[in-house]
Amino acid sequence: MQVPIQLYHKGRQLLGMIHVPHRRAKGSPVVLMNYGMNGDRVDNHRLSVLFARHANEAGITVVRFDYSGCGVSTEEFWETSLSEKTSDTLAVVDFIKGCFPSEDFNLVMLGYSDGTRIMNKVARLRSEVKAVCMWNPIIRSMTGTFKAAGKKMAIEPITKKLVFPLFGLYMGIDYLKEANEDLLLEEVMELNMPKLFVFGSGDVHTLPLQQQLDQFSLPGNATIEKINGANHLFSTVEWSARVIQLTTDWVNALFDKKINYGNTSAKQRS
Amino acid sequence: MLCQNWIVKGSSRVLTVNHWPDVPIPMGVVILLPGFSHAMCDMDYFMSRLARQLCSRGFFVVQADLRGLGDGAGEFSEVTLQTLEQDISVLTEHYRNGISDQVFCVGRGLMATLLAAFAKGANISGIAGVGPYCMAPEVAKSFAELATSEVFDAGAVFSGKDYVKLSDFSEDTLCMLNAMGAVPYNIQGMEMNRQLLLDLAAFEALSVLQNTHCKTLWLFPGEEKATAHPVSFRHEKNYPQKQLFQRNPLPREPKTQLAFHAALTDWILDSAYKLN
Repeated sequence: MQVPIQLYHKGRQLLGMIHVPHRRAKGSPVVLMNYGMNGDRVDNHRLSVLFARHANEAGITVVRFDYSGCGVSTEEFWETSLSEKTSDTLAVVDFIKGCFPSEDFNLVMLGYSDGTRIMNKVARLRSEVKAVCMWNPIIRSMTGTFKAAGKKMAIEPITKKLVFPLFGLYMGIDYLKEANEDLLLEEVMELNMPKLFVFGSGDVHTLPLQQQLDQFSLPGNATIEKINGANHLFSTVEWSARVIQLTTDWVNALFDKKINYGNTSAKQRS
Repeated sequence: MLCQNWIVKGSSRVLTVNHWPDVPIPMGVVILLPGFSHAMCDMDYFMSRLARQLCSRGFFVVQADLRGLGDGAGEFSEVTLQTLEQDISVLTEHYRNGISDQVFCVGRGLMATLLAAFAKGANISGIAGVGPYCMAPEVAKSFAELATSEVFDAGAVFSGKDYVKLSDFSEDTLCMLNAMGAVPYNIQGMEMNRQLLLDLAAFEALSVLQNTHCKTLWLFPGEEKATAHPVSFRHEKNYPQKQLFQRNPLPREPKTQLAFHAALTDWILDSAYKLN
C-alpha cells in the first residue's frame, strides 16, 4: 500500500509517502529513508520507490519524504541545511511513531550519500532507532567537491542572501558550512546498534572511506557489503536490484527473531 | 497550501501534488509535467519552484507523476505513448471539471511535445514547453533498433558512464536524452519498453509543434547568458538540427532557470488575462 503523508513542521509542509505491507506483525521494522544533498524522495531511477515496494513484499514498512526546500515539500533549497533536514527528520519520526501506537516501534534509518549525516544525528537523538543502513555514505568534508565545481558565491536575487550555486540550485551558507565539516568514521561506529554499509566498489566518492574501513577494526555489529563495480548512484538495473536485496535481507534477518509472528508461517509473512 | 492526491480513472493511477492559491477563485489551473523519467519535482526542483511562483500569482497548480514515473503507480517499463496520453487526458479532464475550465500546461522535453499532441482533445487553453522534444522519427528508430527485447535495460541503449563530462556518451545519445528532458544517471538503472521508442519512431513531433490548437510558448536558452528565448517551429520545413539538443535545453544554472521561470510565469499570466 502506498499512502501519501503530509505533516506540518516549523511552518513548513513536508510531503512524503509511507509504504505499508499487506501483512505486517506488530513491531515489525519501519525503515525511514534519508537521501542525499539535492535528491528527492523518489531518487535517481526511482531507487527509493523500488526499494520501498520490494521491502513491502518482505513485510517491512518504508517511509520516504522530502525535506523542506527539496522535492515537493515547501520552502526553497537555500533555506535548508543539514540541521534543518535533521529537524525535519525528527518531526517525521514523531509522525511515524504516532502511526504505530501500542507496539514496539522498531525504526531503521537508511542514509544514502550525505543523508548519512542526518541519519547519524537522528540515531544519536532517538532511542527508537534500532539499526542504521548506509548506502555509499559520504561523511567527509565536501570542500573538495565544491571547489571542483568551480563556482563562486552569488547573491540570491529575492532574499539577497549569500548563496553557493549548486547545479541549478542555490545552496544556503549554513548548509555550505555544515557540509564542509567532517563526520568521523569513529563517530558512526560508536552508534550502539547494528550497522549495514553498502558500497559500490566503483564509487569514486566513497573509495577513501572504503579503504579506511578495510583497515578499521570493525565492531561486531557492523556489516559491510560491496557491490562489484557499482557507482555512487547504483545506476544499473543489476546494481539497484542488488543494493535493494542486500538491505531488505539484512533488515529482515535483524528483526525476524525479535518479532512474534504468532502462528503465521514464513511463507505467509512474505 | 499543498495537498497530495491520487487521480484514478480506468487504468490510470496518477499521483498529484496540488498547490492551492491564497485567493477565493483561482485564475486558472496550471499542470506541470517534468522532463521524461523525472519525478514531478523535476531536475533541480525546477517544477516545484515554478509551482510556488505560479501559485503565488493566483493559479491552482498541479504537479503530477504519471504511471511508471516518480511516485506514480506501475513500472517505468510499462510507459508508452499510449499510457502517457491516457494519463494526461485524465489529468486535464479532472482539473477542468473540478477547478477551472481554463487549463494551462507546462512540460519539459518529451512531456511538452506530448501535451501539444493531446491539446485539442483535452481543450487546453495554452501550453508552454522547455526544450520541447523535436527529433526526427528516424533518430528514435535508430535507438529502437538497439533494444533487443520488449523490455530492455535503458543503460544498454543509452550507454555511457561519465556523468560529469559526458565524455563517453555518443552525440546521438546526448541529443536524444536532452530532447526527451532526461538525464543519463536517471534513466540508466531502469528498464524501458521498446514500444515507447517504436511510438517515437512513428511520432511526427515537428508537425505536432506546428499544429497545436491553442496558444504555445516554446523556450530554449538564449544566446545571452542566463536568458530564456522563445522559439517558433511554425514555419520550419525540416526538423531542426539535432545539435539544437546537444546541450541540455534547461541549463543547470540557477540564474538561467530563474529566467525560464519568469518567462513561463509572465506568459501564463498574460494568456490568462487575455482569455478573461
